Amino acid sequence: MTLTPHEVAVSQLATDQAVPLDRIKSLRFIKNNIIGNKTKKDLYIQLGIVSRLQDIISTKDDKDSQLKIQAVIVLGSFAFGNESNILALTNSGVVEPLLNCLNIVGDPKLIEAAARTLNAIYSSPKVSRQQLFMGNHLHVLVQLLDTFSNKHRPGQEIIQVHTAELVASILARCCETLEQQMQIADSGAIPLLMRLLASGVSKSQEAALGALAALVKDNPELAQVIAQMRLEKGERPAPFILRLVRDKSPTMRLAAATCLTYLNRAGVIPEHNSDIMLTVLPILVKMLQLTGSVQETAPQVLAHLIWESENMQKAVCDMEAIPKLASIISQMDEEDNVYGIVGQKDKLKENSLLALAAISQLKEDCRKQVIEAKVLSHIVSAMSHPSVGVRAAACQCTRSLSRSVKNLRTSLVDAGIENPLFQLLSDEDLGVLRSATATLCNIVLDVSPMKKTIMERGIVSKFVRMISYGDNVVRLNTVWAIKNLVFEAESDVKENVMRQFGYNNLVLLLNDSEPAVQEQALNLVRNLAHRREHDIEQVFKGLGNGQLLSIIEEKLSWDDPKLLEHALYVLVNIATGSEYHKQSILKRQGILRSVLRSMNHESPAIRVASIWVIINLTWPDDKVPDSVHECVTLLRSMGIEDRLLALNADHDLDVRDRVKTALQHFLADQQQYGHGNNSNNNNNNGVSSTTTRAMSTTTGMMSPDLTGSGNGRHSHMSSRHHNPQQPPQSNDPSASSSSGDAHGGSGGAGSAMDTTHIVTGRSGAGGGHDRR
Amino acid sequence: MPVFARIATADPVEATAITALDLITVPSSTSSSSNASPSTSPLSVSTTDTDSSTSSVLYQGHLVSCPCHNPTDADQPGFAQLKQQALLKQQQLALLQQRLKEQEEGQQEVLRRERMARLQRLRRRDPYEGVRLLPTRTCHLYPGSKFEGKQQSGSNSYGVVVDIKHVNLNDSTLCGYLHIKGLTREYPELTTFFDAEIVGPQYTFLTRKWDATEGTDEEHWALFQQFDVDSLYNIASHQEELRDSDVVFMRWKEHFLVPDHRVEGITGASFAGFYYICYNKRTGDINGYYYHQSSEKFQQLTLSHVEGRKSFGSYEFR
Repeated sequence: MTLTPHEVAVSQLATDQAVPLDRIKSLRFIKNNIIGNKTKKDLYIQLGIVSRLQDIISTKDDKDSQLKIQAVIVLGSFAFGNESNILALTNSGVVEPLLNCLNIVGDPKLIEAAARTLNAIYSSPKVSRQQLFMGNHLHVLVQLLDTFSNKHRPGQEIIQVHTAELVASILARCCETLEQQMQIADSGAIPLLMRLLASGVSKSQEAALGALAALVKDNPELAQVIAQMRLEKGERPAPFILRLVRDKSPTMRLAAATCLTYLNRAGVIPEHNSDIMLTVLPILVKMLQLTGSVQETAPQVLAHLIWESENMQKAVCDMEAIPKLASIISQMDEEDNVYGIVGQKDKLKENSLLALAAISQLKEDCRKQVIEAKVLSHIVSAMSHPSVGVRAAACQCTRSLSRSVKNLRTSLVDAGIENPLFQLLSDEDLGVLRSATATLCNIVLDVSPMKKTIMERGIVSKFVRMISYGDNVVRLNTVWAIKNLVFEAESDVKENVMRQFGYNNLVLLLNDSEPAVQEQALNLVRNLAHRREHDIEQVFKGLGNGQLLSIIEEKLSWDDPKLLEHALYVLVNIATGSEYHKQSILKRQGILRSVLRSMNHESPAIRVASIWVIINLTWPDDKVPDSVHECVTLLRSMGIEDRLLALNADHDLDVRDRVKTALQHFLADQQQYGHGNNSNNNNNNGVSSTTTRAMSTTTGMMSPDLTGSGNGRHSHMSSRHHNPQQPPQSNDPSASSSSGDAHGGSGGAGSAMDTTHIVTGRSGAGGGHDRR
Repeated sequence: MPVFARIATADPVEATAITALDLITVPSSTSSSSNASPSTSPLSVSTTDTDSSTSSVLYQGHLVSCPCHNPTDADQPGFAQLKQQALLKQQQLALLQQRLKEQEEGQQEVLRRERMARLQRLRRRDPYEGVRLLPTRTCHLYPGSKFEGKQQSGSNSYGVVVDIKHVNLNDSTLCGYLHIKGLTREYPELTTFFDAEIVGPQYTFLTRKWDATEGTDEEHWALFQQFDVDSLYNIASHQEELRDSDVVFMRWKEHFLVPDHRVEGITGASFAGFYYICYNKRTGDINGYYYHQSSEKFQQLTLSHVEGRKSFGSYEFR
């Protein structure tokens, strides 16, 4: 049995073997053999070459740097383009000795070779980045970016530049987490990267852009630091990078566009918004038609750039990006079918789906284009793709598309998204689970025919598990889904949901650590206690005696306007319930004071909500006229009528209209029970006259011949109301209006039927509130 | 030095440390917290200090010994002794400085963690979070709102109910269901899905589709008394904020049947055209005229808002 030349070569590498020159020779032999030859690489790895190489590069002896250099180059060759080889290298622990080779005073050739090999190793996201951030390694690495210092060695400039590029690339690849970003920034890398950016050497600039982009991605703090820096001529980085976006090299264009995208999303270059719109967007869209890594990355950058920007989404839509993305996705599916190649272009597919999701996030027009591009069936099949990234992105797409009543009723039903979606709700990947639960929120709406089928599959029984999954986003999405599901739902659906979900869980969510979850939980209460007295009663029972109102009282004291609005609407809804429900609100001074306070809130929506509470509480009810009277009296004594009168001049039309309705209730009460009621004796006359005056204003504004007055468009009408004294200023209630007369006439007769009738009749004439 | 400024107000150990510092840095000075005589020599410092002995105090939960002057040596305090005291105090000071440093580092660590947590939250942010499709409403137009009325076609009148399902004022759109009664025998009640283009920042009075010419537009809009013919071509007036105006002009376009959107072609009924709509915010009334090339002209839709003691649910797209 003889040894193959390969075995001989490996055996000669042993430290106790041969003279250094022979070992170098063997390394050269191996290097030439394995370059570009996967089989031979595998062979050598099986022969145990990695540990031999590791021994060589681990020696402290700095004299034989030639040997080390060759060993490092061979390691790099193994690492190139093959993830399993990379993992074989890292598992034997080559990273630490390679990092040790980056000695600033060492042989520049060795440093460059080590940087190159490390860069190849870090191309795999599966390799741990931990060692780089231990000890002194990062500091040393960052120093290598400095090609300008006086450590210059004549004749080594080119090597130093190459090394700096490699180091920038390593940094870009080791900058995934926030911790890593901050550590790299703290190590002083940013100014050195800036100088590399301004160096004028294309490859260096590209590498610097890559590292800077990685540093500012989702990091507004570093983005701010970088945006505020100055290049050597005093220029800010953003305009400089904008010029690089027009470079002739596609990779440079992409690198520059990526960097600008992250800066833009961090909100630190608002002055360049239009540049980005006019320059960066079209360049990214054009890249969709290139090939290779540029085409693969461009849609991801595009998506990142346009999230949350309606204008950019529309602009991209107008650039015909949707058909381009659609054809990338559908072509890929065809190729998969023909060649059976799976996994090769997963990233391109994932990124393209993400771009579609971003484009159709906000505009119905853009959603329409996606549907018309006939890509939906591909999106739906991608929801069952083996790659988690593709599944999550496809689900994000359906999420965007399902933000439309029209799509929920048509194309999404036709495409059958509920089956794959239901599957994804049990996915093991958190990203997938997040986007699936988000999509679910839209699918369970009452306008969606899929609500029924997904409920029949037992979605409700999954809610409890989803809540306790331990992720804030999944928990938020779940409450959101439940509240959407019970919106306008029948009583039995609500009861079924709450039986399985449990009011105890609802209470937990109402006191969740995340305000966003609380908001949704409160909205859920609002939807549960909605429309039917029975439904309100269920919530009262479910939450336990008194607890519902205690929770609302607490939420009303919060500053968060979203919580406040939902809390007020819970009251609005409860106030449509039974006498008991109404009384339970009126018993709570704290709640009533909060309502009064909310009537002055800066947000018109909240003012409207608080006035609705008053409207519903004082709604004339002929079954319990005394109780309504007591309620009005109580609210009047708290100063609510005065507050309403003040709101008569509110600048918001909706507020003014609600105020009118509410004041009608107060007026009706006053006209029925007269002036002699309790608790307000000292200013009773004043109030009643102002109320009456306000009401005559109301009547005037609502009468048809005055419609449109004030906007000056209808000159032909102005002759009809030439009286500049509008509104009437009469202090005499009985003379204020015909309806006032009618009320006055029936006042004191105690006939509740009459009163209601009159109110109805008058409201009807004013086009108002007659449908109870 | 801010560090010592802080010490001066703190506990006995710190006070000792200041003394020590003075002794070390200014050996010729006699400053001591307990010494009243400013002109005495270093030797006299300890003689006046007879009351103090080695004592222990609790400092941050640790029992710390405070080396003071030994009373037995008080009579003859030598230089070596003084030096030893100084050394001890120096150690004490070092300990204290170390503690302060740790404390400061601890505070910095807390700040750093808070900063990182804040940045971390931003990173994890759902890209849909900052642009929620919060429900929008204006007066009678809100999801769940209902309008009732009729459509007049020649001498025939059909009952109509409109359910508003979604309102997106930011996108100048809304949509809903339109139920119409008795239009055909086959369908005693027909329900269609419609969406609306609200004339405003996004849509002008000019339709430019659905077979409507500018003439058609003018002829229909002019049927509404609130419409000002001048605004037909006046782009600027379209930009008017919705909330400032008493009326809202819209186009309603029906798209498909509810519940089954796949049904096509109903004998005796068509929804190929669209409605010119005028909604009055004050009265809650909606007026409309149906337009389709081959349908009877000016079929009128009149609706009014269904009022009542109101309960409001709320949903939001995610």
